[in-house]
Amino acid sequence: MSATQPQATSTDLERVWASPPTLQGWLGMVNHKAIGKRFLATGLVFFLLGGLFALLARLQLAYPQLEILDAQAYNEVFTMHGVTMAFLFIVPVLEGFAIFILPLMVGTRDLPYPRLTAFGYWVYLMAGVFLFASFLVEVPDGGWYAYVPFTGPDFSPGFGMDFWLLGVTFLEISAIAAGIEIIALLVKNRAPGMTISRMPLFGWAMLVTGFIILFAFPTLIVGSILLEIDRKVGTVFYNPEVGGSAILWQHMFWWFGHPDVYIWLLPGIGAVSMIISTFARTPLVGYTWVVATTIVIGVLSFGVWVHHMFTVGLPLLTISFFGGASLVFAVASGIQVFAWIATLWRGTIVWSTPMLFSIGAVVTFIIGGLSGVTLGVVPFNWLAHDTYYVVAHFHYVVIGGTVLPMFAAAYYWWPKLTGRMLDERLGKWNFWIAIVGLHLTFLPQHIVGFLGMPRRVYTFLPGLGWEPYNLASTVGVLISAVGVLLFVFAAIKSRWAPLAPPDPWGAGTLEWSTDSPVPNANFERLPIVHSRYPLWEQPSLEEGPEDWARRLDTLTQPGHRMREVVTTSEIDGDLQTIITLPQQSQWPWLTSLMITLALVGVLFDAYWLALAGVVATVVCALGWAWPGRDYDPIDER
Amino acid sequence: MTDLIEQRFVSRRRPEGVETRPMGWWGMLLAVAVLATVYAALYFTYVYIRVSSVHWPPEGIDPPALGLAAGSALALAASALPIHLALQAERARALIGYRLALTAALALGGLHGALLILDWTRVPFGVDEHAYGSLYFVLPGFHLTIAGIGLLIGLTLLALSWHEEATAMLHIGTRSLALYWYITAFGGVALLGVVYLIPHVWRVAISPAGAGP
Repeated sequence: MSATQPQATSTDLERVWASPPTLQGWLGMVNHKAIGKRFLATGLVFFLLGGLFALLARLQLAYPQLEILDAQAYNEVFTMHGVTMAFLFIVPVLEGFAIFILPLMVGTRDLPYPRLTAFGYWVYLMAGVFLFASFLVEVPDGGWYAYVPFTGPDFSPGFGMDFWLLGVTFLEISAIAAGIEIIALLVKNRAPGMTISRMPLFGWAMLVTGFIILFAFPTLIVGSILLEIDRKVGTVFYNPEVGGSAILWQHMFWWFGHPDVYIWLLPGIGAVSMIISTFARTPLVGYTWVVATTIVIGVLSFGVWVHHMFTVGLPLLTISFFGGASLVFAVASGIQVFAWIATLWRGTIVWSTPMLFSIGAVVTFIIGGLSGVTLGVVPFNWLAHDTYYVVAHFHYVVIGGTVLPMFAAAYYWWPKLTGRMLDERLGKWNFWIAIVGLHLTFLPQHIVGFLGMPRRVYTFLPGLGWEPYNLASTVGVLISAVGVLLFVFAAIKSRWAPLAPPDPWGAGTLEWSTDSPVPNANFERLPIVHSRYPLWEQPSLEEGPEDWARRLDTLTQPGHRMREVVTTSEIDGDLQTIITLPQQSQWPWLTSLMITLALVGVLFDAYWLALAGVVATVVCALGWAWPGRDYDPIDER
Repeated sequence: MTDLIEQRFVSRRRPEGVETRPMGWWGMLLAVAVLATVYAALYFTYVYIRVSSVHWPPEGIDPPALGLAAGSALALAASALPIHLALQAERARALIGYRLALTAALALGGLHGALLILDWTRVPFGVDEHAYGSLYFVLPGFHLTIAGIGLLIGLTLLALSWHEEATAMLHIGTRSLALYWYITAFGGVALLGVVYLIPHVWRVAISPAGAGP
């Protein structure tokens, strides 16, 4: 500590990192905690809407030949269910968790590009509103996968698929922004001393997820833009009659789509790994193996997209290769599952709500993984293709790998998110009702798939033996909905719960070293790390090389009107530089709004509006880049 | 503002001997990975449609003239050199040299786009007649949009170079622009190679893999 300089009070530091309590302050907020919570809250709203669509679709299929929805309405509902869940719920909520918790977990004050964080949120919100505005005009009806030629200009001439293509393309920008933020944070802004091999597993999972986002999402952007100009300009990329190819879309979509599945799963695997370790009261067994398999899964995720296309008529050698590659995932995932089991075996288990959801997630994920192995076998895939067996498989994987871990993460990190605990009793009811409902919904779908029921049908004939399974699925959805509503009730009730202590679970990672709720600056003094579980294994977070300690102390001094964080070396986590981050800024939401205007112009063929939107976007980008009140970086040379 | 200026260049920020790149550079490096994927998706689109066709270009259409495209590609490749010089000049804080080099790069970038657009006016087909035509216009158009963003960044930096207190932003921006420009130049030249050379060197399908025009 520097003897000649006074220490800051928490109030000084808090003032520097606070946002003004005005409308301008709210719109211009860039702090990772506020933005992370916005992602999560908005994602929860979309989850409820996506769940409502699922409920409608299941009610329609409860009995043969019901007419709750006609065929067109059913197509719209199941399309919007998929679009909402895949694009507006899962990815943004996972990003929300990462944006909120990762800077705390790696011991820094914010993400490296705060205005980009805010921009990502506004893009997400506006793209979501844009997609849902389709209910006022024409709802997309081509499925979340939007296969051509059905979604091309000849078979879907209205506005519905334009909403899909423009909205989803816009939304991808948000995901890419988050991917860049997360990677840069984890590579350059970890706490001093946090070597890459001391990074928490959720960090590793998000690092790999970030890279998958960067290399997967652009292909969907390119594919979607080509399809949109097929529809608007008359190009023929996907029209086989004049030399285009409908199968090209499937390649572009699934090059994105299969890695996207791992964008959904890896954060869940990371969160479950941390929760199991905390509630088994022991470090995770096989940390290195779990990290290695996470990387392997990330790389392999780009090598299996064709297993979604086994029936389109590709050469046998090609599909054999992709079938074999798909089976390798079972080995990597198996290693992770055994690491969790070994951790539970070694530890002393505390059956808290986050732990229950984590164990439920592992069991559900294993079932989904096993049916995945069967679908990786090409001859079986040909038999089961486009039946409810596939629906059952991917819902098991997504619920086990993503949705249940999200609930686990919500219960686990709620004290950091809000400063209060969720009710444990309600949480356990929430878990058991949800788990019964989810399995009742999807387990029978394996059987009805075996019995030949195709997916994507709005009704079915009586006498095929499908009735009891469909009814059970519908009842299961209703029970699951009760579970979800219990979570919402518990979240509301927690507002009146007492404040939580900093580390209510007795966990070992850095996010639990600071107060609940988390102060604006996250930590009064940035921590120094010497182990994977600093709260379990270090007597102090302040001890380290004298130079590090002296320089970290300067970050807490009063009189600094700048938001400062440190950079560290990529592998060894050595303290390098002190850098300045931007303050509140109005440019992120303004820029997103102008892009939205341009998209509305394209949607309705009002190209003057599109042009005005583009020009306004450029102006906003210039304002963003120009040094000003919100950002005037220090020359670090 | 005064205390902000006073705190520039203080040693606590970067001890002697510590060499790091600005965070903006890291962000741009990751953005470049996105751009590289975009270019890869464009190459894949072209080659996939080519593989699915028997005749390339479609019967009745000559392979594209190479003159303007070669000039355009040459201008784009050459523009990487003044960008490199601008980078050096900014490091040496030689503002006049910086402005000259950046202007030369922007001019070459503009020439690249102009030659490509001129070539488009000379072909006898449009975007909507066959997949070959769609690829011929849209893929380079996609690239020109990416390059146009690079030009805008370059123009912004040129304007910033007259802003006396923007040395940090100029430093971060120039290093980031250099990365962006290199990937755009590499990706763009390769894309022109794909669009203009494949119709010359790969005119007949290796195997009749599907119906084409």
